[in-house]
Amino acid sequence: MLSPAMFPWILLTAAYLFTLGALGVLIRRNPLVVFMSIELMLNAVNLALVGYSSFLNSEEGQVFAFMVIVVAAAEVVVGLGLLTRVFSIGRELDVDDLDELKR
Amino acid sequence: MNTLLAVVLILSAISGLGVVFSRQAIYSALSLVLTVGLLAVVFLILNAQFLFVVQLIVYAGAVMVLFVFIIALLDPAAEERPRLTDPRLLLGILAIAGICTAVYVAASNGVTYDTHCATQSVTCMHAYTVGSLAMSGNPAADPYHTFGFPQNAVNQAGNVQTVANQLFHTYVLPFEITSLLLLVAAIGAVYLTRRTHTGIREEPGGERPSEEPR
Amino acid sequence: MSQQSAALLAGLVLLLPLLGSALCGLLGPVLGRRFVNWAGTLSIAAAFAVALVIFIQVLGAATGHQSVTVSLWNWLDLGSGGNLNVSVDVTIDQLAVLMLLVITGVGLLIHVYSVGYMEHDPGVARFFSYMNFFIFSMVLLVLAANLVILIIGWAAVALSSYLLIGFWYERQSAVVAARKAMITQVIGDVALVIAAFLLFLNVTTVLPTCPPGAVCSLQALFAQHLYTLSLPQIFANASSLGVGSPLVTLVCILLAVGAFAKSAQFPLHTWLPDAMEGPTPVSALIHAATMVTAGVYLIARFHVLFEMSPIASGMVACVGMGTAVMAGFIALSQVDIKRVIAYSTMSQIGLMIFAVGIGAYAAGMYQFLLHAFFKALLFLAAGNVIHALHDEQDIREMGGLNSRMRVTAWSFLIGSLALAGFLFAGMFSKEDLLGFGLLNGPGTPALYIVGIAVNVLTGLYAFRLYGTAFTGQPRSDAARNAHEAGWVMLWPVVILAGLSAVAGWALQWPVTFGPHLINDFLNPVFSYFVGRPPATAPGTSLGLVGFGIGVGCSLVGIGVAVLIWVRHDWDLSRVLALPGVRLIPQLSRNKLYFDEIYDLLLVRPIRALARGLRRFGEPVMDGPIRGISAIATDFSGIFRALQSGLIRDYASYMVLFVVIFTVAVMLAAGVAK
Repeated sequence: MLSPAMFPWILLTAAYLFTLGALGVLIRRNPLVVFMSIELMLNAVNLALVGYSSFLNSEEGQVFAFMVIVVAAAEVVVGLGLLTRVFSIGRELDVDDLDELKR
Repeated sequence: MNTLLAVVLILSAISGLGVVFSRQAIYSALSLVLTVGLLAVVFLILNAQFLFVVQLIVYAGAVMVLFVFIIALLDPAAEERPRLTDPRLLLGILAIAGICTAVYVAASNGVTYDTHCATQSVTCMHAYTVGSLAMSGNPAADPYHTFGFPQNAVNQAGNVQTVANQLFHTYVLPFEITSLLLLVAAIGAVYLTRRTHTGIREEPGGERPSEEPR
Repeated sequence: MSQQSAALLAGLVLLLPLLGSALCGLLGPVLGRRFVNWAGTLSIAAAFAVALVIFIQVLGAATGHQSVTVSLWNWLDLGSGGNLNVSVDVTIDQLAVLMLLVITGVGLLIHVYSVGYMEHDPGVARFFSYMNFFIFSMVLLVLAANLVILIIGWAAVALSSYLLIGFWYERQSAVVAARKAMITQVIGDVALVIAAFLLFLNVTTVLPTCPPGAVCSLQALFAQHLYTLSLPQIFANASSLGVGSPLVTLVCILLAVGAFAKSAQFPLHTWLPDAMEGPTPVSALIHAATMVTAGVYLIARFHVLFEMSPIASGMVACVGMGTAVMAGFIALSQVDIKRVIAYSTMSQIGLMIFAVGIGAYAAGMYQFLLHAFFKALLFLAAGNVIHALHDEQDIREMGGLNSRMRVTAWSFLIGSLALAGFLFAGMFSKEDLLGFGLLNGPGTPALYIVGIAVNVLTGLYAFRLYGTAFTGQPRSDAARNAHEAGWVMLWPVVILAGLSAVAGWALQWPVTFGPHLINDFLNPVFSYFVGRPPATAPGTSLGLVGFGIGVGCSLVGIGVAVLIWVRHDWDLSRVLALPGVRLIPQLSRNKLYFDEIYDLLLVRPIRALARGLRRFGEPVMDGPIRGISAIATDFSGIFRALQSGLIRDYASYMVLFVVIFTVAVMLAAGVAK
C-alpha cells in the first residue's frame, strides 16, 4: 500500500506549508491575508498530525487534529469579527497601522 | 498510492504559494480553499476518512466561506509586492529553508515517537537505527509493528467508530471544553459585531484613537 | 531603700511622663483639649508623687545607705565578659532626689499654668507631649548611673528643647532660634561624648595589676583597665586617672564645655535669649528651672573628677562668675521682658556654676532650688502679663500694671526681691555661695568681689524690670486695658511666690546659726573626694561680714533702680548720651556683639565652604552617577526600539527564534547530522 519512505515527504510538506504560512504572516500587510496564512499553518500542523497517526497506527493524532480544526474555526470567527469592527470604526486594514501595542 | 500521494502533496505545496503571494486577497482565499481540499485528499489517502469529511465540511465549507464573505464585504485593495530586500522576507525564506531541511533530514533518519520508550531518555526523542531500517520496509526490524503504515486499508472497527471511541472515552473532557470554546466564540462574535450608534462607516479613512499620555 | 523598691520607683518616675507624652501625642488630636490637659498634667502629678515617695525613702534611710544604684533593664549585651553591657542604670541619692523634686514639682506647677496659657492654641496636644517628653528626658539625665544613659538623657533634653523652642514653627524666628539652640548644644554633646570615651578608656583599677614603671605582661596591663561605663565605678576608681594629671584636666574641661553649652554660659550662651521665642511656660520650665541647670548638675555629679583638677575647676568658677557679670550687664538694657529674665537666668546660673566650681556643692544646689522657684515665678508672672497685654512683650509699652493685675504684680515683686537677694529666697542662697567665695576658689577673694558686683547688677536690672513694667502710668492701650489672669494661671504663680518667700527662711541660712537643712541633706553625697576637699565655709564673724556686704550691695542696686525707674528721681539719659559713656549701653544692648562675632568667625566661613564644595564638588560626585543612569537609559532605549507595535515585527522575532531553536535541538539530539 503506502510505503514508509513516503513519511518524510509528508513531514516535509507539512514543514514547508507551516513555514510558508509564517512567511505570509511576516510579509503581508492585509490582515485578512495574514489570517489566511495562519490558517495555512494550522492546516500544515494537521497534516503532520494525521501523517503521524497513520504512520504509527494510532488514532490519537486524528483526535488532536479534530480539536485543532474546532479551535481554528472558533478563532476565525472571533478574529474576523474583530477585523470587521476595526473596519467599521474607520481604521485602515493594515497591520502596520494598528500599532497601539507599543504604548 | 504512493505516486498519488506525491502528486497531491506537490499540488498542495504549489497552492500554498498562491495563498501567500497573491496580490489580491480573493485569490489568496481561493488558493487556500484549494489547499484545504488537497489536504483533505491527503487525509483520505492516509486512512483518516473522518477527518477528510470534517476538513471538507468545516474548513472548506464553513471557514473559507466566512473568509470569502468578509473579503467581499470589506473589499480590500490590492496589496503591493514586498521589496526583495525586506528583512522579513529574507528571514521567512531562511526559516523555510532551515526548518524544511532539518525536518526532512530528521524524518529520514527515523526520528519518531516510540510508545515503548520507557527506558529511554526523558523526551523520548532519539534516532533509531531500527527506525531507519524500518524505513526500508524490512518487517523483521519491527516485530511489534510500531513503524510503518497500516497494512490493511481500513481500520478494524472502521475509522469513524475508532475516532469516536477515543473522542468519547479518553478525550471526553477536551471534547466538552472545545464545545464550550465554540459557545464562547459565538458569543464573542455576536458581541463584537453588534451595532453601535455610530454604525458602519460611510467612507474610508477614519481617525486614530486619541493619543493619551500614559 | 531596697533594690526592688528603688527600681520600681525609678521606673515609675521615668515612665509616667513618657506615658503622658505618648498619650498626649498619639491620642491628643483625637480625644481633644480636655483630655490632653488632664493627661499631660496628671502624669507629671503622679511623677511628683513618686518623687516625694523617693524623697521620703531617702530621708528615712540610714546614714551611708542613702545612695542606691539599681539596674532597670538590660539594654545592650554585646558580650565580652560584661564590659560591653549597657543597662539602664539609675542612681538614687540625695542629689538626684533634689533635682527630681524640682523637676517634677516645678514642672507640675508649670504644666498647670500651661493649661491656661495654651488655652487658645491649636497645637496643645503636641505641646503637652513635648513637655512630658522633656520631663522624662530630664529625669533620665539626673538618674543616670552610667555614661551611655547620661548621654542619652543629655541629648534627649537637647531634642526636647529644640522641639519646644520651635513649637510655633510657622514663625521663622522661632525655627532659627531652635536651630541655634540645637547646634550650640550639640557642641556640648560632642564634648561630653569625648569625655565619656576618655573615661571609658582610661579608668583603671585603683590597685593596678601593673604598677607604673614596672614591666608587665600584656595580660596584666589589660586586666587593670576597667572599661566600665558605670558612674559609681568610675568615681570609685577615679584616683587611677591621677590627681592633677593632664588627662583628668582634659576630661574635666570637656565636661565643663558640655555643661556650659547646656547652661548657657560663656562662650556657648548665645542660644538662651533667642530661645525666648518659645511659649512662656517653656521658658519657665526649660530655661529657668531645669534644663539650664543640667550643667550645674553635671559638674556636681562629677565632682570627684573636678576636685582632682584645680585648673579645670578654677576655670569653671571663673567662667561662671564672668558669665554672671556679663549677663547682668546685658540685662540692664534689654527691652523684652522675657529677655531680661533670660539674661538674669544666665547670670544666676553663672553663680551656681561658680559655686560648684569652687567646691561649694550644697550651696550651689541650694541656689538651684531657690532659683527654680523664683525664676519660674518670674517667667510665669511675665507670661500673665504678656497674655493680658495680648502678646506684647516690650516693657516700654507696659506700665501701671500694679493696680490692674494685683496678684501678678505682688508675686512679681516677691520674685524680684528674691532675685535681687533681699528678704526672700535669693538672699539666702546667693549669700551662702558668695560666702564660700571668700575662702575658696582661684585668686581668693577676687571672685567674691566680682560676686558682690553681680549683686549690684542684679538688684539694678531686677528692679528696672519691675519698675518699668509694673509701676507708673500705662504707656499703651494694651497696658491700660490689662486685667488679671484666670485662676489656672494665677495659682501656680501664687504657690511659687509663697515658696520663694518662705523656702529661704525655712531651709538654710547663710550664716553659722539657723537651719542648715540643705547642707545636712546633700553633704554626704560630696563627702567622698579624691583631690581637693570640699570648700570650707567661712566662720561666724567672717560669714556675717560677708553676708552684710552682700546684702548691702543688693540693696544698693535695688535702691538705685528704684530711684531711676520707679520714682524717676534720677535721670541718667543725659549722662549715658555722652560720647565715650555712650559705648556702655550700646555694648549692653547689642549683647556684647557675640552673635555678630560668631557669625563672622564661624557661620560665614562655613557657608562659604559649603558654597565652594557645591560648586566644585558637585560635578565630581554627581557626574558618575548621572553617567551611570545615562548609560542605563541609553541601553534601555535600544530595547525600547524592539517594541515597535507592529505585529509583523513580533512575529519575525518568534519565527527567528523558532528556526534557531529547531535547528539547534535537532543538532543536539544528534539526529540531523
